[in-house]
Amino acid sequence: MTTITYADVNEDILRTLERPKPAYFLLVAGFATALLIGALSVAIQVDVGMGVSGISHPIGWGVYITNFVFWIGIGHAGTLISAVFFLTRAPWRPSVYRAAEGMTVFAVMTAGLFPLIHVGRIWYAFWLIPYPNQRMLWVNFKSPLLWDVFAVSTYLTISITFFVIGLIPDLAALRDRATGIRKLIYTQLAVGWNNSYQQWIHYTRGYLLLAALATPLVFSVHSIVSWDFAMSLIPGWHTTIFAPYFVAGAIFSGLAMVLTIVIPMRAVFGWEKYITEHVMQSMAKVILFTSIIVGYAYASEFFIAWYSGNVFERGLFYFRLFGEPASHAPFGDVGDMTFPQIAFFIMVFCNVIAPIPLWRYKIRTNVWALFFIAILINIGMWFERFNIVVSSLQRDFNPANWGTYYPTIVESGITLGSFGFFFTLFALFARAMPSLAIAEVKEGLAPPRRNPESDDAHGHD
Amino acid sequence: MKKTFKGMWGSFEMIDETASVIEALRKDGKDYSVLSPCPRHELTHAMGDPASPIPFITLIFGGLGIFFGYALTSWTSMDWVLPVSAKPIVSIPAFTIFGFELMVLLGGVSTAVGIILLGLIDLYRKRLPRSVQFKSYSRFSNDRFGVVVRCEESEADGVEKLMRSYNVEEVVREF
Repeated sequence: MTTITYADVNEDILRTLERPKPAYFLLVAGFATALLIGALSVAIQVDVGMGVSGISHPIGWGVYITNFVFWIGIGHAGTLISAVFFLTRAPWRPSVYRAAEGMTVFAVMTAGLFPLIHVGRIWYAFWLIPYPNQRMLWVNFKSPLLWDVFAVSTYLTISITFFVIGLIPDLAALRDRATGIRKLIYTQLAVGWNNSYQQWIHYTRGYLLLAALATPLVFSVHSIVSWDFAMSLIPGWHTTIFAPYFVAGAIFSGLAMVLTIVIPMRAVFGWEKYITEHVMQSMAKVILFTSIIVGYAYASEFFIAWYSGNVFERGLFYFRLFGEPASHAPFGDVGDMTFPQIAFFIMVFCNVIAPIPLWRYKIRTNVWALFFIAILINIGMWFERFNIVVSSLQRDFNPANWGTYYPTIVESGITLGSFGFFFTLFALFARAMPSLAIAEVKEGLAPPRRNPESDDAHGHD
Repeated sequence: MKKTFKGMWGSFEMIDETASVIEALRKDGKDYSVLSPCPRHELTHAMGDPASPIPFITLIFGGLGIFFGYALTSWTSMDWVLPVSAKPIVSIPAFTIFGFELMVLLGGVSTAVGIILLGLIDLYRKRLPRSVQFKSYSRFSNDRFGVVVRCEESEADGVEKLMRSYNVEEVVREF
């Protein structure tokens, strides 16, 4: 990094905003098609009703809540990188934080769609917000679902705030380089930023405080999402391990998504000198660490189900692992793999076994091996959420209340659409805004000095 | 009435020379501003580690958020009572979530607004050159450091001499 100059940083990063190649438009068209399929699926559900989804008694939460938890989890890595690693001064952070922070904003926006889609009558979703109304009815603040409303909306607002504040100095750099209508737009977006040190002083102080506020927020949000489940009495959900288990899983899946996005960008934009092997390896180490936590949580759930002696817990975890026992033949096809079983084995393979090669240095520094493992983790973490959400509802306390669930084509279309929504937004962002943080990358470089010894004269922070 | 700029500005390539000029100007009691492509501790120290009132803004609005979180939930729970078995109507542990979330929300948003507004206020208080030459100079967001000195014409020679002694690339007077 020491051979890179400040001017190189501007040149390398802003070059990515020049006219893209036709492949970019093809890619965006692909994402937009997926988004269109999703929008069409939502329209069908709104028109026909919730009957087009597979959600029915007793499985009231299906793929929509799975997607909600999945996308919220994806968002967590962005805040972890931008806030937590900022406070801990991780030196590899600046090269990936902008892409990760953008990913957070778009992932939380995607997640935010699912409670709305899930409630069915989207036009009444505002009932979730406490607002003064004619009958002076208020929402139930003791319900974990309302905790979610506040946690997710706060998380989205703070993520956007953090993202926008970080962008301002870079927008000023863009403004200074742009011409015509672009210059006009970037001038407005840069809100008077002129690189004066008074501004930098407020900025650095404020950014530190935003990081300090966002750090507990990131841990609280997924804890609160986990309490949607843990506060209920359903076997498989009613467990105290859920908050740390969900947070570790969120960081795990989010970092895998960062790698999924950053590795192709690194190759396309030629950012090898910024997103170095060290950066990739550091992320791989955090993924490996969180994979161990997630694996421990899986094992702990099974152990506690057995050790507690609770027949309902034991029954549910037997069902997750082995499917229908012979004694329960009337409730399913004994011997056939059940959907929760398939989800369970995919989850264990992708989240616990697939990351094991990351113990090896050669794998951690091989970007395409990392990319492949990251994709597997993304798949595995989706199935983890599916397994948690659906299998518990399939087998609660009363056999008369048992059921099965398969996602319908509309639910699959909406799920595909969520990926389309996320990747379309990200692709447009990568085209319009700098995906590497110019000012922060410069902060990590050695500044130009006449006397290389002079830094000591002024001391270090 | 709009304040006008009177003084001079110079651009520097090296951070150590910029820091030396700033230290000299500060010791001399001059009214100056510094421009930089990124924050650097060398420049902050040279300026005498100036403080920002941002933490007070965060503290006040974060505190308001906590108060509002508990107040909204407690008042609405008493206004429309939803009894759930023997659970308390005003449940402090459950309402702590709203106290926390609104603390982060109001604290975070006010911090962001504070960064932008204080920057704009300082821009007015610490006036920068208004010439086309200064406005079209785009390297302060790229790879150059700048020092702007607000002074009388009679002081200009001394300031220019100081800047030149630290290898200023160009000096522009605006009187």
